[in-house]
Amino acid sequence: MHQETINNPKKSSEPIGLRLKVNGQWYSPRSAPTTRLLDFLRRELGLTGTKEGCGEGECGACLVLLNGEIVNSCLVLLGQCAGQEVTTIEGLDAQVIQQAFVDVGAIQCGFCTPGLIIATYALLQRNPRPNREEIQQALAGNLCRCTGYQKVIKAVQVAADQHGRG
Amino acid sequence: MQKANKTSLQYVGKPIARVDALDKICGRARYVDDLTMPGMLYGYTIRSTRQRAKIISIQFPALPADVVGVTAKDIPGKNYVALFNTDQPLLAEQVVNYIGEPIALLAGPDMEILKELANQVQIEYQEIPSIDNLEESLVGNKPPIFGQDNVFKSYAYIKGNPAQAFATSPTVISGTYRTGYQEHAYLETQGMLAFPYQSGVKIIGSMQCPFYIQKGIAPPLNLPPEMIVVEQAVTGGAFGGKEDFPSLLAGHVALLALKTGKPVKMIYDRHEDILCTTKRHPSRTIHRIAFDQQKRLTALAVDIVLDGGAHSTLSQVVLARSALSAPGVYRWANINLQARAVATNQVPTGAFRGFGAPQAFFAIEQQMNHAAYRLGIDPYQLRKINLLREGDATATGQVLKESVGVEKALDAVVNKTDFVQKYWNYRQQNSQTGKRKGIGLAAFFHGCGFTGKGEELIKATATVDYLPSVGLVIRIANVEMGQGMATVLRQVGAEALCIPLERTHILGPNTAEVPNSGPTVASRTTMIVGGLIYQCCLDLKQQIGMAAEAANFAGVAAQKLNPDEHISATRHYRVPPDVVWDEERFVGDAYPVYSWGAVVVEVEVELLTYEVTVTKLTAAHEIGKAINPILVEGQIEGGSLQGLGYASLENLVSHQGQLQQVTLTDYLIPTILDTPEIEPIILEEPYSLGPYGAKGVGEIPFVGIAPAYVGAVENALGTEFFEIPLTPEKIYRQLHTHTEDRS
Ligand code: FES
Ligand code: FES
Repeated sequence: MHQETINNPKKSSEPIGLRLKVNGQWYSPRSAPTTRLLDFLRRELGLTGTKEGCGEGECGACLVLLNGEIVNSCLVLLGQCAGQEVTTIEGLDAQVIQQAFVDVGAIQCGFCTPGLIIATYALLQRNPRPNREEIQQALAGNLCRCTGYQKVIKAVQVAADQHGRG
Repeated sequence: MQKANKTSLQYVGKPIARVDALDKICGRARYVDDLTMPGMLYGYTIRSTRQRAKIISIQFPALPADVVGVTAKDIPGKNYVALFNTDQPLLAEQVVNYIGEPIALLAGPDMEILKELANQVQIEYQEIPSIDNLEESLVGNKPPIFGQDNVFKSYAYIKGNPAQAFATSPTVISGTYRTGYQEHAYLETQGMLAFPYQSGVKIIGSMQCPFYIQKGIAPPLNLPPEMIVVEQAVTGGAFGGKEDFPSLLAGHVALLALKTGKPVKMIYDRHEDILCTTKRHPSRTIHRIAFDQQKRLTALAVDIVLDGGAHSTLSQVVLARSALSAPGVYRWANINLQARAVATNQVPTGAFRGFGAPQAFFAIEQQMNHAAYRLGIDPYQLRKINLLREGDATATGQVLKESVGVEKALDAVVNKTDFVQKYWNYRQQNSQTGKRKGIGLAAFFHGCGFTGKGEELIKATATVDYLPSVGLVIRIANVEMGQGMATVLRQVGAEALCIPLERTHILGPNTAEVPNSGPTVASRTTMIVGGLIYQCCLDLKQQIGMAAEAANFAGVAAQKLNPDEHISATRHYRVPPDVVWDEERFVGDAYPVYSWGAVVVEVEVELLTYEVTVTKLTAAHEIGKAINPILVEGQIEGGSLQGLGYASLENLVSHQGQLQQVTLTDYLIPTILDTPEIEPIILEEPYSLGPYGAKGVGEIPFVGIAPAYVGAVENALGTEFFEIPLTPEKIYRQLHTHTEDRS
């Protein structure tokens, strides 16, 4: 889990200028501050697990954590992330959730999957025992055209049970 | 094929986790937009802003040295994308026929600069009167877009004596049914990457049919097909939307790559994808059915028109499925059927899960729902009286010899939901405020594999290799697009040879390395291609002297072969000899076999806003054998929700050729908040020629949702509806113009 240093960048000797931490490592981007965070991650850092499904905040395929909170990286500019911590699917420690998605069959084409895992991770962080309605509310920003969401809901329930046990 | 003894199966019938799951949950799976190459350029398309016009001139601005622009003049070969016809240009040359039609292309290193340059391209048009919709197309008072009469394709047949049957039957039910556009909204938009390769070009992208692309763009590129190598990247959903359209896009990137000598990638943003890629055909169906005193169907008269948009694409085969689905799951002695796909100045429509069947089933199943109401019988009983059963003949005279599960499916959903009781209870509701409940039913089939002679023409070929050091290598052109093909076909191979799943592999799909096993469409992959793989595996056994049912393949192979020696087997699909189809007369065996389904939808309708909440969807599908039940459930659940979207929510309309909903903010697809509980019920009546009895399941879950949904709303409100999507606004309009409330 990536919580310890999130709100305490000073400790990590943050220098002046646009710097941000991605998956635990500091970067000084070459991209302009007006670059979408999504493009910076995908193009400059090659972190292509974060997907673009709509580019307008509707689909959630581009979800990342910004200081532990979910954001649509297609709507965030790099300049808004100065000194902050971004976590993408590549840097997320969410094995229990991921395993639950695999086991119950909540993945089809997989394009929505990284976003759903990020959203589930954020949900279980703040609410480890969500009911069906809370799960639906938390994932309402993530479109999936393949699964009909049944197994997605089940995967979150299974992951929550596992967390509870662990 | 194999009389599978349930208990003896190790892989088939087991809910095995997807083989591609790990890459997908970690974000490691590489979709086309995740690929880059040194020196790669981006491509951008300049599109028509007119619905129908002559192109007088195209003027590029001064282009920087690192930007290249191309028009139709730069096409080295013939300017069309080859499919059934040659009417779709790779780039519009003399005329444009829809808003969004591609006219010119740009390639360069910076996408933002390309977009700016694209805005400065000057295109001079001269307007031509446009044909806006299917009705206008039928009137024919404007210059035709296609042929002499705007008709891409028509089918018609008469069976028995329908005129007499209508004249003598005591009950006749009529209606005109309309269905709208639907956008696939696969989460990954269309995209392709191309680069010069050997002395031709290589294309990597999001697709269903690598060989369609190869064949489709060989004429414009003026290359022999084998010099065009096509490879599928991980594909983020398709649903038919990546069947024919990718050929056009692949042609564009290939043209740019050959022109620039560099890799070129083109990824549509969502707006562009909705604007210019294919959609589900809008339809209008005029429908009449007649009943005798015993409530048996006596005659059907149906006239289906599909709006094919500006180019013919796949309309003729979509139409064939509409025509074959129009009679529904019932017995008929008398039929008068006419079906036409017509041209309009709209974005071309094409393949979409269900492929013409959902429009036809909406009409026939709504007719049955309406008939039940008027005959004072419940919709379940009325269907039971008229249902096709084993040994019956279909509308085209195909005798159903085996694997006919429609009654089982119908009984399953009706019993599970207590349908009949609820149906009559809800009919008694008379509250004028608050909410009312409703329940609706539909029954349907989906023909597995290509329609008619399609499978014969494509001559699907599969090859398998076995190397003791590697295991089984399956070579096919079929693609994994989320449906689970890669897992299912490896299960078939592992089962047939009794080897561990990890020792099975699927190569490709890359046209240079695999034979053409046909496109990944038409619910054909498991049944047809899986069947070939199964047969190939038996051939391998024979080659090393084993009986078909013998188990220890790996052991025997290890004895008989050196570790790097390989054996291989190839099979071509042959239509079974007793499957005979006469396309001209529309008589005979339209499909080798059918999957069957029934659904019940339960709703609550808020009487003030007419907002409809689906509380439960129960879907039973008889699919021969579920090779992987968890993946089958996934198809049922996903297809069902997509069907609910089509029936209730997904409103896409064109005004003077301009689609009015071109973002996911305007074009709404179901979210997790919209999904009811969906209960899938899998039924199995093995098909003797399918691998382990399997038929198809990819499309059928979608097919009957709309009439079950609309039937439920009718049950709640006591009125009849004829059009989808049935939005709250449409319910309101209907209730307030239609004074005769039937409740
Ligand atoms: S790409 Fe960001 S929400 Fe869809
Ligand atoms: S699995 Fe395809 S969009 Fe969710």
